[in-house]
Amino acid sequence: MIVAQRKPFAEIAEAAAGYRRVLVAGCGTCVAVCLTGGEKEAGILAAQLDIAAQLGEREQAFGVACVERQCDREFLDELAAQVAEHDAVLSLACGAGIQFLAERYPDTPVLAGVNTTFIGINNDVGVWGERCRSCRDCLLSVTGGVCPIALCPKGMLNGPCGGAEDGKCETDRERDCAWTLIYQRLENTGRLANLEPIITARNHQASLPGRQVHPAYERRYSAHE
Amino acid sequence: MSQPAKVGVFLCQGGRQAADSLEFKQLRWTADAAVGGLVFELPQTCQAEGAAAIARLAREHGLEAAVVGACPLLKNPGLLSGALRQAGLDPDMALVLDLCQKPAGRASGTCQVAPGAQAALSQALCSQAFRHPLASEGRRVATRVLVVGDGLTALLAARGLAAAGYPVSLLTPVRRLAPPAPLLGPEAAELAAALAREVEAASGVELLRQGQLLSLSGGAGDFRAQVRDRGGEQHQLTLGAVLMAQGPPQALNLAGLGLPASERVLGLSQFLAMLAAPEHLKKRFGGRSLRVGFLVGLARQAEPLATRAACLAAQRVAVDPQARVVLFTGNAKVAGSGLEALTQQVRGQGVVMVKFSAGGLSAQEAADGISVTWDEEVLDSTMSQEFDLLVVDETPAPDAAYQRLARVLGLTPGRDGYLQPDQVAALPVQSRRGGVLLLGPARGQGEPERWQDEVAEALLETRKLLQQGEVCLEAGRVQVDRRRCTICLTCVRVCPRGAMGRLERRPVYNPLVCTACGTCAAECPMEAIQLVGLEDERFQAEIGAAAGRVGDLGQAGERSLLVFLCANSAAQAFRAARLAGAEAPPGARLVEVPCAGKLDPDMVLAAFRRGFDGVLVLSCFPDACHSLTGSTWAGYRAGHLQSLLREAGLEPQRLVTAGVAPSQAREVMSLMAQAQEAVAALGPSPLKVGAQVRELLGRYTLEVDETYAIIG
Amino acid sequence: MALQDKQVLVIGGGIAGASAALELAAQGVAVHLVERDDFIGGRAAQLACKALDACQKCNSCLAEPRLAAVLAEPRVSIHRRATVQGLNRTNGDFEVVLSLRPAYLDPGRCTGCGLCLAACPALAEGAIRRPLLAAEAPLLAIDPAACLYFTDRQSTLCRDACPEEAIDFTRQPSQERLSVQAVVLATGFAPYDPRAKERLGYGRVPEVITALELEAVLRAEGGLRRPSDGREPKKVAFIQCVGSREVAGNNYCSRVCCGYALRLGRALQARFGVEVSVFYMDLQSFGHAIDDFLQAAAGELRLVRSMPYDVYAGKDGRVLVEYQRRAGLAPEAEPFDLVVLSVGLSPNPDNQALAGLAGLGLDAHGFLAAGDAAGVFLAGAAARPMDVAEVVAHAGRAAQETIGYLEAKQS
Repeated sequence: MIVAQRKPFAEIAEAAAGYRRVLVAGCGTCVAVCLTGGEKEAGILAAQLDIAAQLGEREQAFGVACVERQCDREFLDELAAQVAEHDAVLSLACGAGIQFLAERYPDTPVLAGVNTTFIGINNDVGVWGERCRSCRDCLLSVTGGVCPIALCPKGMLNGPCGGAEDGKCETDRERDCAWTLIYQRLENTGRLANLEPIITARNHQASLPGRQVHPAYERRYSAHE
Repeated sequence: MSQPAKVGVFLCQGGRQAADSLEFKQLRWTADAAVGGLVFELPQTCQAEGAAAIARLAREHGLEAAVVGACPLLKNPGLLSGALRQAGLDPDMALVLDLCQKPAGRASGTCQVAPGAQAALSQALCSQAFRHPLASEGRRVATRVLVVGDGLTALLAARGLAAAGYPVSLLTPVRRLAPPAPLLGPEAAELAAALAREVEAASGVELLRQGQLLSLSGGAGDFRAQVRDRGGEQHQLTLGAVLMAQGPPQALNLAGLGLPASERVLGLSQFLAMLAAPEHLKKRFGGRSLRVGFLVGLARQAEPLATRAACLAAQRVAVDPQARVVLFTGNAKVAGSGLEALTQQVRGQGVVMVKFSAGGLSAQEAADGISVTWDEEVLDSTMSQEFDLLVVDETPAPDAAYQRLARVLGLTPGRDGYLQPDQVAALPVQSRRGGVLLLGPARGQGEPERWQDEVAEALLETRKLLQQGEVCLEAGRVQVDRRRCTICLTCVRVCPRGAMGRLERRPVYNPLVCTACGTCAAECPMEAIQLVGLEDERFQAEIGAAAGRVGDLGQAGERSLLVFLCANSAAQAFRAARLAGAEAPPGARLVEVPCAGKLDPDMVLAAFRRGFDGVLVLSCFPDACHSLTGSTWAGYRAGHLQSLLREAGLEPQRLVTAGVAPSQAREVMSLMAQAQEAVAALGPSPLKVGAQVRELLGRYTLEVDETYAIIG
Repeated sequence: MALQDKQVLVIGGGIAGASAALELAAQGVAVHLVERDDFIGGRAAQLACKALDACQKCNSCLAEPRLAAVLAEPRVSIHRRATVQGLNRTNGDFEVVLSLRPAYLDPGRCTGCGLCLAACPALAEGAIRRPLLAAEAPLLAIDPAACLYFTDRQSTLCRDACPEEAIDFTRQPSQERLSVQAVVLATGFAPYDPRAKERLGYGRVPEVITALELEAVLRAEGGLRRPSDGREPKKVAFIQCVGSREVAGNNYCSRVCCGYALRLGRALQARFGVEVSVFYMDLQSFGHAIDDFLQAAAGELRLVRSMPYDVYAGKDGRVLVEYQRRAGLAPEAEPFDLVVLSVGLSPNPDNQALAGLAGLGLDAHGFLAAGDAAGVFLAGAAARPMDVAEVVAHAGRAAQETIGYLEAKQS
């Protein structure tokens, strides 16, 4: 899932300082699961901002709303009445949600309350790890389920860089070397042969904004193109 | 929320002097405003007649809940609850408030209404409005119990359960029931063998020899276990409970001695087995009289069982007058029946007992044996002796298979290698997963005489849990709102007893195991969990009532310190302190929570937004939490809250947390006083005036949205 | 439930008796809990919490909730001031005769107002006592051994002060008869009386106290003062194995002393900044994670592997502890402000009589042991030294065996 981290409070408070009535909009999916932007966190942030505003002698009021997701039109529509009553919206959704909210309500300033950090997994309560960079050309079948693009700081594609020590990465001795993990995994599952073919340089198509249509709906959107 | 309960208020007059006072009249007015027509004044409540009068009136007026304004004397278990029970009412329906300045001062005329009583009464009226007695429902539970293990403890458990009428599945790691356990001695071995025969013959016991537990899902009363038998076939078992009696594998307690593995270094169990053929043993080591060194407790502390076994083995070797036997111990573990006498006896038979201290003993291979060198403290010199063999005690060693089994059971071995969390609330046989009980070797109990006690406790627990397959429980305490739940699994992970599971993807709680600590509700990121009667709304209302009303007489509007007291520790200590005549610091308002785990960050922030100068959280000490981990999670939350306060511009020191035990009456009062002082030193809260203005205007305005600030 | 018509006598209102009573009541049995003192709780009710920043797992807090629960349990009738005078088997049942000391202070009328306490001239001697457990309030009790009225037949200040007319010195002892189907003995242990070890100074030097006294003071006062001058001690010594591991005497290890002494020592150090030395022979294992615990204790406390043989008053109010650390070194007399004797668990002096009464035996050390009598069970430290957690488990076993016995009798 998408993992996000709340921005430093000072940054949020400053961005919101110019507005009298601010709606703190939470999202009930990814950011709620990573304990950053759900109903609870939205309420806490609104309370903090209210306290800060009082202490800073700013006349501000903070409302709280939380929808299922901010990346779907229908859910964003639910906010219409509340957005109308506020001067700005502070969204705690991921970057996609913040933007979609801003598109839906172009006349209201939309502020970001979180930094979207990565696509990752949840190890245990309160701790998440990155696993995917959405490069659009998944090579996990070849590398035994370990991604060198996400987990190798250098993005090596054909084996370790040589700086690893005791299976730990040169850049951070606490981090496992991704290629060591790949090797071990392939060895464990009898697939060391995967290492033989060269993985060629990647097409960094991920830098272009993506648009994806499901094959079953292609006809629908080509007709409306 | 359904219809609020019909609440009545009883006020103890505590003598005319108290009843005539303005403060008492204020209480009366507050009560009348809330439950007009159901307010009763009683001359005295701390006596049986008073309690009986309350019960009678409650019954006559059909009350579902009651708030009794009295003093801590009435909280005496038995007095009021006994009277209510006799009247056919629920003993928990009455909330007794401590409103008195000095308890039991009726005759001396000091039964006065305490300052802050009005706020306390308002708080109580708020919380009783949320009271929602839950219906009991009958629930069928599985009665089959899985016992894991093959030794004496497992067999005692299997037999006991079968005798009590519970179908048993006995999962053993090896093929043989009661495999040799030389450390336990011949009597235990005989008992185990007899039990094995009994269990094998018992019709109610299904044997799964050399079985492997693949998974254990579900919860107490309805566990689903996948088991693979020794033929490779998989079975599914539906279980009510699991009794884990298998301990971690043991290895020689030799760390740091630097001796290579050799046939001259043996484990105590191994040596005891070899002693069955002593002539063979002698032949193996040169045919002459043996020189044996017993090394007990070198790296890790030894158990009394090891001392006993070593002494008995030493005795047998020392039967040969030419043998040389030395027993090295770090600490002589003699805390077991007859052990002190045994060590004396053994010394009398020519066995030398040597005490060594950490780091004071080393060993090297010598030409014809092993040479041990040690610092002899008593004689203040270094000594050395050569032995044919070294016999070492055994202690738990990390083992991948045991870790896997532990994980399947939902448990984590501790630093000592055993499965029980090191917490008082888990004693004697509980684990972190409700319905999984730990016995004997699994929880580190090395002494067979205590295994019987643990098995008995486990049988009693099982009976309470499963009854005869039909249990009557309170249902619906923990409500999960499907619309909000995002299935993040936080509640499942934080539940201290594994009471939160999943049914058809959604979290669902197991009332057999749930202790209503509220940790799940406090941690849920979507506020999707509410505990009936302990809802967020209720606490918000109570905190608002605790803040009091600006302009009321006395210090009602003062809002200096809001104290959250955990019901299992601080609230009890506080009551004890009050009975001894102590008083809470003036201006302190108290809110009781079922467990510190229930404390929601919203509550603390709400308290500060209402203008309280400070918040004090009193809970069980970490590791002593009655709910196992409630106070630990509360501790994390409190630390986080302090940084949240700092970010927002408030001094983080305004939030104080402390641990307290139920017996610490003096400490709880001094903790409150200290917190009061510390907070006072920071000055009044900068949010107070704003909060008071808002509250005043709120009374005169028809509709004020709390989130809007007042201009000017 | 099947056992609802059954009644069981539990002798002893401490943690063992309370735990057994609760387990029996949970299965539907009616219990008569007999306690000879005015209050329940026994020894465990005197124990203090020894937490530092975190719990030290001394397990003392296991007692409180169980004792409070037994006071509230409707199926348990508590008979205070009662001793068992007769226990006769007839047709498989037991006819019990209880001998009841009079309650000079009527619990039915007492409101715990404390006016009698204020009036009593012999309060320091314990003439009127409050219960240790808050759950037992508002009971108060008059102790005839210390109360002046029973010597001079004149002092009635408490009675005159009582507004409820709850005090009546004319009350007489009485008897009560019960019929039960099984008996559980939970009569506990007696702390070793260190006066028998004259050289350790107890009773002679006021600054020598027992660990139980230390626990009681910590629990009640939350602080620590020297008995003679009330100053806070800076240096405290614990002497282990007092009344345990004696070749001629209590020839056993009392099991719990190393555990409580090390925890008390760490608590004193953390809370009051006291320097603690522990004189020991061997440190016994207790509880989980013993290695970590001993390492922490060894780092914080001064552990001296030597048994002192002489304790006496020194100059300027200090207490001297004399011991020999090693052969070849001269004996040392080290000054301390307070000396705590870790007294062991001795058999209850009434055990012989109790054994005779109930048809039980005695073991080699004088603790109660199973006898020939059916339907009689043992719970807790009456059987052998054990700590609070072990007592609870052992009492559970006694209850479970009692239930098994009652169920067998039914069929």
